[in-house]
Amino acid sequence: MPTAIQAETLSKTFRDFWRRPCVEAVRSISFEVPAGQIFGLLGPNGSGKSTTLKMILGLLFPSAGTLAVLGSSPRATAVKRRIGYLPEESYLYPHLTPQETLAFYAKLFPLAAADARRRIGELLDMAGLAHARHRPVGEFSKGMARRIGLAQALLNDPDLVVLDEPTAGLDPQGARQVKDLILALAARGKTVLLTSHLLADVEDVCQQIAILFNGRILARGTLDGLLAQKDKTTLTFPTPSDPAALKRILEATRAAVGADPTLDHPRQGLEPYFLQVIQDAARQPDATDSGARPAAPLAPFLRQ
Amino acid sequence: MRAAVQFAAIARLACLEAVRRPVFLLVALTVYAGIVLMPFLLHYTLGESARIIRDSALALYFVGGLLLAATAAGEALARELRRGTAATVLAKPVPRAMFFLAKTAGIAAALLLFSLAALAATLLAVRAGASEPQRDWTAALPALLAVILAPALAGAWNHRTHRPFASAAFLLLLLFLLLALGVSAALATPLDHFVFPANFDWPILRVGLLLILCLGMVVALAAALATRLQVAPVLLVCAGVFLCGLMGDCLLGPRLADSWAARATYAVLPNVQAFWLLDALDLAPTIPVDYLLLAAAYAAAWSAAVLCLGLVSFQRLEIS
Repeated sequence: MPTAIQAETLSKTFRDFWRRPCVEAVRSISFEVPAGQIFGLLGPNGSGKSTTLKMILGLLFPSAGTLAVLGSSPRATAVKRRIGYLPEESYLYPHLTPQETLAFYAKLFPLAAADARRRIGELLDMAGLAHARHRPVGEFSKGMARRIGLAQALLNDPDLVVLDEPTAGLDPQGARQVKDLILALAARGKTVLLTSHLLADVEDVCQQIAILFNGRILARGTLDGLLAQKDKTTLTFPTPSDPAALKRILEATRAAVGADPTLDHPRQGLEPYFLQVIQDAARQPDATDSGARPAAPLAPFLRQ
Repeated sequence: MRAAVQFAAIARLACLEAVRRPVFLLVALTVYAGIVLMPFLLHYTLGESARIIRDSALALYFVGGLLLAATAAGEALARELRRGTAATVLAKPVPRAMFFLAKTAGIAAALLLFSLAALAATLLAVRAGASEPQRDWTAALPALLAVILAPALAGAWNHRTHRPFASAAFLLLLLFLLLALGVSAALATPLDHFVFPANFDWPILRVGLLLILCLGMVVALAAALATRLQVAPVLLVCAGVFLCGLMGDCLLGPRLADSWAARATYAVLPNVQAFWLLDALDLAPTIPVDYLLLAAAYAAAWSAAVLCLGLVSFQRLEIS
């Protein structure tokens, strides 16, 4: 499988005004992100996640080690044409409207004007901000600004999408939409590298993860490889109407494995339950909302 | 072609962001209002009112311009680097050199707009007050109306459309002051002892052009400094360097013959005296074009050298 990002003994030491080393943010980490995969970088605050991302984007320079992004140096302009980046905070020009913001970023890519206009319209629809396209983004809530940030990251239909805390500040609907978007991008063969504090979100979308702490990778691998408890088995079946049938199943299991099985009813996740409640409420005729209104799950140009 | 589109987009945004900052409007409005009110503030000028208004207006314009150049460049680079917008742009296929130069060009464009309005206000003020104690209302009234109406109309527009007030007020100030100049030029002065040919003291524009070049040098220095310093230190260093440049002849002149350090410092400091030619206007009717070209070449060379240092600094800058 081709590699989208390859880091070999990558280190980053920040220096003070007098060039003295002051913070060792990343310490000799090695990892690779296979193309077409969703890779999660996890870790507490100050573990080196954002520093690693910024080296991948060519914004920070490694102190030691090698780093290749899409087969080239991360500082190469040709590589940056194929990257989309959502920063941790939605850094936007507060006086610009969403339309102007996306138009500005579109001009930084080799996009034809008509193509750029079409993509901007589709992304505004996808972000649910078409109705607010003429309001300055400085007036937006954090979630709405996040959606514009995500839209600007996708303008160039990137091969590598770098998302720093993509669901931070979003409501559950927005977070679900972002996760669906990440899965849809990966289904189209795009590589997604993300960081998040929200472990449930990472578990929902990532195929591989690396856990960083104090600038070092402590664990790395596929989610199944790291999390599956191979010495335990879950069996799910419809609850039998006859309680005696359940007892017979338990006795048979105990006899087969020589240990007491655990019996429980599986629970629905809170996220799908919440989304169902909100969707039902939104269908009421008197429902109003001044914030983001998700319209299209995925911009058409991102589906092609 | 693509590079030109990127450059224009970044420069245009830098210019817009500069004029959208309330401090830009505050300084610009103070300068324009100070200039157009000058004929009403001066008394007992012993026939020197035109010269006093001219000198005071251009001094006010230059100090305001220096303040705006340093703060706008500092905001456009230092604050964007700190706020993170620069990281978002530089994660796109934008070479660092282009980003830095486009930002500088955008700030220079904003300063040019500021200068055009300030020079229009200066021409109007000098004509309005040249015949002190009488006032030429054909120049004073349009200038005063421009300064009063522009913020009022921008406020109404902001109330109606929610679009930024500061940039609207600034652009209306520019438009109205140029319109006032046009209206005033179309009207003959009612004062029979008026001192200028064709109503206005047009040679002021040549001094104005020199000051614009000097402000361009301030923008270049401020942009280079803003790659490493925050807004306040940028302002302090710019003010210090150009003050030393203004006093360079006085401070270093006597030591130039026998001190290489003095010669080196003199060569590096911007020679502000070369751009402040108001006294020359009292001795000669105008400033020769050859001199303007030479001054432009000096300003371009000095700015290019400073921008090269800024570029080297920005290329090595880590954006965290």
